[in-house]
Amino acid sequence: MSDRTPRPRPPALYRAARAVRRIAAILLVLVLLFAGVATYSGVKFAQGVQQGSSQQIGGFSSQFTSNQTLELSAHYPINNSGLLSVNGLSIALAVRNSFGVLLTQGSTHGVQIASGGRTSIPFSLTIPVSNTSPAISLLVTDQSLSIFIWANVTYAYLFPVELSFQQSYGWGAPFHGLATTFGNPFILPNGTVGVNSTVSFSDHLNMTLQGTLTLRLVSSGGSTCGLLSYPMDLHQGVDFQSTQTAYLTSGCNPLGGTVRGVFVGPDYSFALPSQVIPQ
Amino acid sequence: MTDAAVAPDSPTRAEIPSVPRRIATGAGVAIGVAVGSGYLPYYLLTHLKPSSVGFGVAATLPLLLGIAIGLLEGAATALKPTRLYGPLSILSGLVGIGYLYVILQNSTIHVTVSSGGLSIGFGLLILLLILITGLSLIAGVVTSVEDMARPGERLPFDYPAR
Repeated sequence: MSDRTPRPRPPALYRAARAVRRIAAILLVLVLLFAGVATYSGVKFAQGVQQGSSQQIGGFSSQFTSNQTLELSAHYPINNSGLLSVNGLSIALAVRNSFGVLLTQGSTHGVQIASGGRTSIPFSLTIPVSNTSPAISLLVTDQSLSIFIWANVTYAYLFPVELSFQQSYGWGAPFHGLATTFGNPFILPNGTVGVNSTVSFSDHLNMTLQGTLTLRLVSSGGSTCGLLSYPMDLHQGVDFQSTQTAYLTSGCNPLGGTVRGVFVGPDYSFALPSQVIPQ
Repeated sequence: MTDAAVAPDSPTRAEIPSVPRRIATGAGVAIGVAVGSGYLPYYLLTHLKPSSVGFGVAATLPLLLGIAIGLLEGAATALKPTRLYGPLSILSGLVGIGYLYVILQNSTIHVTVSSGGLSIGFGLLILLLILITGLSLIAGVVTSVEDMARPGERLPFDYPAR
């Protein structure tokens, strides 16, 4: 048998203070360990973002939809070389033209990227190209668009991270440089007035332009003087030029009026910006 | 203050370290805490500034507060056998919470990267540290109450005789 006397039990207050101190110390060690791992992992993740192509949106494509809208699609590649998974990564985007006018904006749903994983987040932005939209110039003018990207994620449950960057995108207009020129009016034996109209433009959009372009010659008073119709099946980079004769409605003078164009494709249609017919 | 206190009804005797030894231990704690919570953040902030990393707190603020916490922790350690231990622990906890609160107000780091920026928030981590510091403060309150109610009661357990 041992002759050692048992140690007395510490008083309640002492035990309470000691327990609280021990809990605080254990929590501090755990939090610091987790913060250390998260920091190391976050640095690896950030290095992967900087070294990879995660600051570059790629795979751009565009297509028209039926209701006078343009859909711009691309994807955002990102890899997670950290030790912890990335949860709820969402991306917000805004597209502005060269004058800084907001054309469209959108966002993606949150995605998860496992540790060591690589993913590509697809997104598509709808750009209205109606007559009242500032984006209508996209139809007839090549321009440099600015895409602003904000990627949001909560890393390691504790650290909200936002990566923002800007990327330029060279937009190729489907009717770049659209112009309608008119020859001298002539009178047919039956008294009808005709005028030769030449339409020219370049298709710079990365899609086939298949459909019919209809031009309406409208007088300054708003009356339709004549119609022109140009069927086309154009590939990217092809220049279009075609001359047709417009037969004018009796008594209707298009000079000083406008040319209003509508393009009708297989499953979409859109109006083009009006062109003024010189006096 | 006492160097060899025994609670009136304590069944065991306390073996309190000498004053020089306690001062040495306190100095070690003070230096460790000051370096960890003062100099390390100061060093990181001053070295991160030129590399386009933005942080809303002047680098000297964590340095000064870290030194203050270090001094209080060191003093509390050196004066652990006395009644000042509890109040010093409370004061150290309060300064620590104030220090963390200042950091919490600026708990987002902005990093400029090519063609954009990166923002990292660490407010939740700071809130956890505030919670932990709050626990230490509570422990200081309990110890103060114990020292007021039963002076010297804890000494045989803090410094048990061999």
